[in-house]
Amino acid sequence: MKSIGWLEMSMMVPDNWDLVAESGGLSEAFMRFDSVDRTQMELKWERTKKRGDALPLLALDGYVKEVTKSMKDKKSLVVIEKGNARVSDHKASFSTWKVKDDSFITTCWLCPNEGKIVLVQYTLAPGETKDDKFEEILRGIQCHTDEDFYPYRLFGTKFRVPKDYRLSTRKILVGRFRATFMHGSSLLYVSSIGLAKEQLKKHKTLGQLFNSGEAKEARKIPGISALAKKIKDTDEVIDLSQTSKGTIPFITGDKKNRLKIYLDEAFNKVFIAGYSCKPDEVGRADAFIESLEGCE
Amino acid sequence: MNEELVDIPFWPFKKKKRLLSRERFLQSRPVINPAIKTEESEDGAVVLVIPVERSGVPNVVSKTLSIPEQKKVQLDEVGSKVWRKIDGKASMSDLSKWMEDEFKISQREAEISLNTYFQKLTERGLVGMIVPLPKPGTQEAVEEAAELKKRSKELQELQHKGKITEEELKEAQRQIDNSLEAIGESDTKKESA
Repeated sequence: MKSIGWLEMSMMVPDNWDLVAESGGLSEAFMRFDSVDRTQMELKWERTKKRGDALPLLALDGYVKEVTKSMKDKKSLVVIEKGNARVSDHKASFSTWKVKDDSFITTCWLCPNEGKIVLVQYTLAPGETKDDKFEEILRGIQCHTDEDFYPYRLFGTKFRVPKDYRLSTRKILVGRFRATFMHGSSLLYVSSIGLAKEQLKKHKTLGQLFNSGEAKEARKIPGISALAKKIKDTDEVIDLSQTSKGTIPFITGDKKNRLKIYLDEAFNKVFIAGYSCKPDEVGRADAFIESLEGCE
Repeated sequence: MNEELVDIPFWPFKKKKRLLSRERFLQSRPVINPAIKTEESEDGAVVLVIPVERSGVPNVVSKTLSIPEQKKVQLDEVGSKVWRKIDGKASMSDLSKWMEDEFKISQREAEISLNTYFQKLTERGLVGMIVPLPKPGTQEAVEEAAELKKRSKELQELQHKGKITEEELKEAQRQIDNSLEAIGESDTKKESA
């Protein structure tokens, strides 16, 4: 099993699962995990202000109705079992159902801690039972944390993001990804570049690697772009910071900017992390940068 | 034995992309086109020396303009390392596992990278793929059978034009029949079923 943290959720999934699709980040989010031969699990959450014990059951029934409606043969979907379970310390409603030879468990719960309604659908393989999968995967899904940071752990990279920052943009490619998180006018940036030693043979130094196309998105971020101009041609860890003046007097305040670039030899990755945030956000933004590291 | 027939000459990605299951892709073995020579650049990268076809260019023009008889393509760091691992014996699965360890990347990343890289190499005819026969009863088996039957017709035409001998045609036809039988698509087998 491996640990995954993405889009404010964390969970343990089998080693042969991969996150193959994801979207959202502000008011809703979606993730899909596939093994090599099939879709294993889909997860969706939405922020909600609604409360009430009946909400998950209503949402689950609504979902099953939607699925039935979308099918040509409305009678091919058969609900096998409905009930309650506990997931992530919350009371969840679940339904097991099948369409022809394919069986599914769909479970839904309300997370009042963070105001989210979460729906997870697991595809049962032949021979798998609902009880096994609840124990193995579903019960371990964490939709909230009591800490001030969400753990992010994916693509051999882990870091922690302050809770009120939302995943804003991301680009996920083979062997590399980059993402930005926003909170008001404050921004956090993270990028992980794989095959680092091979990239550094081509670009010679961390400075040249950053100034190549590999990090062009980072160079477009106001605040970080000003720091990018100061990067020297070096192999050492690059860690620069400065204060930039507000662009509109009396309206936009000063910003603290930081950019850190370093090579993690053990995981063969170059990490780039930076921020451009209000001065009172610096402590949390620094914690974000320092938490960035490689992982299995 | 049968598997050799399917893929030599080189896998025709260029004409039509046929879907290959992950299982067959991982069992496939890449082989380098024997016409390709390799050199090493100053920084240790692999340089492919590819012969240039001269069809349609009169000798006089080629001599006057000194058109090179070969072109050179330098592979990057990762491409060079993968190229050196192609020995005709290593399967894609072996290469994928090696890449995971060598470059510290995930299984999925390794497989996607290899798939992309070898598609480019095969499109350019630099590498061929020895692909195992598909399982009988699958869509892949149906597609493979269609390809083999097309191949059989092409060989008959070649024999008709005198480009191959009757013995060569018979031997090739025997291999095609064996392959069709192995994937459960032989006409005689179907009729008896």
